[in-house]
Amino acid sequence: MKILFVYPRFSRHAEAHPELRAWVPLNEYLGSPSLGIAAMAAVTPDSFEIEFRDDRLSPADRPTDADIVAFSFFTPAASRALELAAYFRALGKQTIAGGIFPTMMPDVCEPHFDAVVVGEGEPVWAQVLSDLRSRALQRRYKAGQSQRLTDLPLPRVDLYLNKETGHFQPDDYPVQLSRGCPLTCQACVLPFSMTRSLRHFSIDHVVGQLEQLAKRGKRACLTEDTSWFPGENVKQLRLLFERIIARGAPATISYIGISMPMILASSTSMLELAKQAGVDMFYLVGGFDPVTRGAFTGKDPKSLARAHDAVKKSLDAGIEPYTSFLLGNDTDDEGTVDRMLEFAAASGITKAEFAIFTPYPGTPAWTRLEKEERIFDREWSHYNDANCVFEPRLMSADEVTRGYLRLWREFYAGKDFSTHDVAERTIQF
Amino acid sequence: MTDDLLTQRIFSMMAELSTVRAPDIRLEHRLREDLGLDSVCSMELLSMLAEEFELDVPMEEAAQVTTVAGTVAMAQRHLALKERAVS
Ligand code: SF4
Repeated sequence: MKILFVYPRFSRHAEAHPELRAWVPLNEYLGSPSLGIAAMAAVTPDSFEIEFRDDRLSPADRPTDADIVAFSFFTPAASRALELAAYFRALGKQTIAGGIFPTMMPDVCEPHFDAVVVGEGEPVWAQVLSDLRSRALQRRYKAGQSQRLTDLPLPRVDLYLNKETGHFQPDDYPVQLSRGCPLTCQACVLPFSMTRSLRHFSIDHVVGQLEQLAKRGKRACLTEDTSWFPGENVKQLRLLFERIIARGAPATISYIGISMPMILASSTSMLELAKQAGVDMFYLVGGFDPVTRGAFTGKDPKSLARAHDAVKKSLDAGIEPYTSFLLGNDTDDEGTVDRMLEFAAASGITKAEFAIFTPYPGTPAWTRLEKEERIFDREWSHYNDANCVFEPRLMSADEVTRGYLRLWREFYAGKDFSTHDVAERTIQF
Repeated sequence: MTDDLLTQRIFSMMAELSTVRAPDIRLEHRLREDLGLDSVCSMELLSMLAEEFELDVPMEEAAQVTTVAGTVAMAQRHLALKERAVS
């Protein structure tokens, strides 16, 4: 039997607002697909033939000799995934949906696919494949418990690497240190899609992930901010840095995700260790945590001071904070854009990205805004951080969109990266 | 460290993260509702405790704590465990 894995396309910032290409002097970066398909391919027995199509590179709706088409997608790609499912079903293929959106909105997906996998795919994949063989696919599969990460093989990132072409040459690919998060930040889906049980891959597994990328000349991006949590998490991260340093290998990590509270909570020695291990950049994600939610309200000088401290601490450690600002929180008003720009200029941030608060299905924010009847747009392709799909509290949706565009334009006005040694690029532009 | 000193130290750590000043913090305060400390703040607080008192509190346990009194009790419990392990 043959499985075709499909990663449906979605619209990114510069596709939603092409004027950004003229304003932002960084290279537009088409990054790797998320790890979902690579992870599922890794637990697919050799008796199945595998094909992979990245719909962002060329349209996936082409004939195939595969028997099954398996999709992995998050909310921004959901509309396209439903379209692709209709195409393949019309060809008589069995279709399966998995990933964040099917996990959070299985009822929306169910009419469009033959089966929907809810939550982590690995625990149920053997059952799905066996039911496929006997043509007895169930409508829905849901794992009884979280996947034990120590049992998993390395993800098949070779499927992605083999797709590289002229305009798709990522210099980094994602590496997972852990899954799940016991916290519940209002705009984050991770504790619900990956469960609230925080589990770690072994250091050997993580080093294995890094090595398989390094062999192909690629670096790793570590997106989860959970790595910096106290206790076992930060211990694992420390061990990883020590292993990298001990190998004496050059930098293999392009950036690592973190939040301002976690920078503030991390010891200076930990940040120095990260730097020594080759971490030159933090992906400093804002808008989820109390520091960045308070800092730009104009009413919370303590959070503003703490935001400055966090950026300074990162810069002092020699790690560039590529900062992601989120506009549209309930406390944001018409002065927030100016305050963000002032902060960015005063703190010495040189690279930033700007996003519109988006109530992704399944998050606490989605549930709350639904209850308050403030969500007015359910076109999933608009759920991409570049469109305002809800009624903000202190601004209009138009003001938020205009503010978001102004942030991009004014932050980058007059900035020039052409003298930099390396081609500077965005993270998810 | 006496329980009183530990409590005062935890109050000042909380005040660093909250808009409420240390002298105004009470044991019965709820972290989120009264001090505005959400779950990420609790992680930051936990990191501070870990750093200052070399405590190893599982974050799953810390994520369950919702009050100032609960935080102090958690720190006391883990300090006692640590002392027992050393002696
Ligand atoms: S933003 Fe980070 S800390 Fe908050 S729930 Fe998501 S993964 Fe957990």
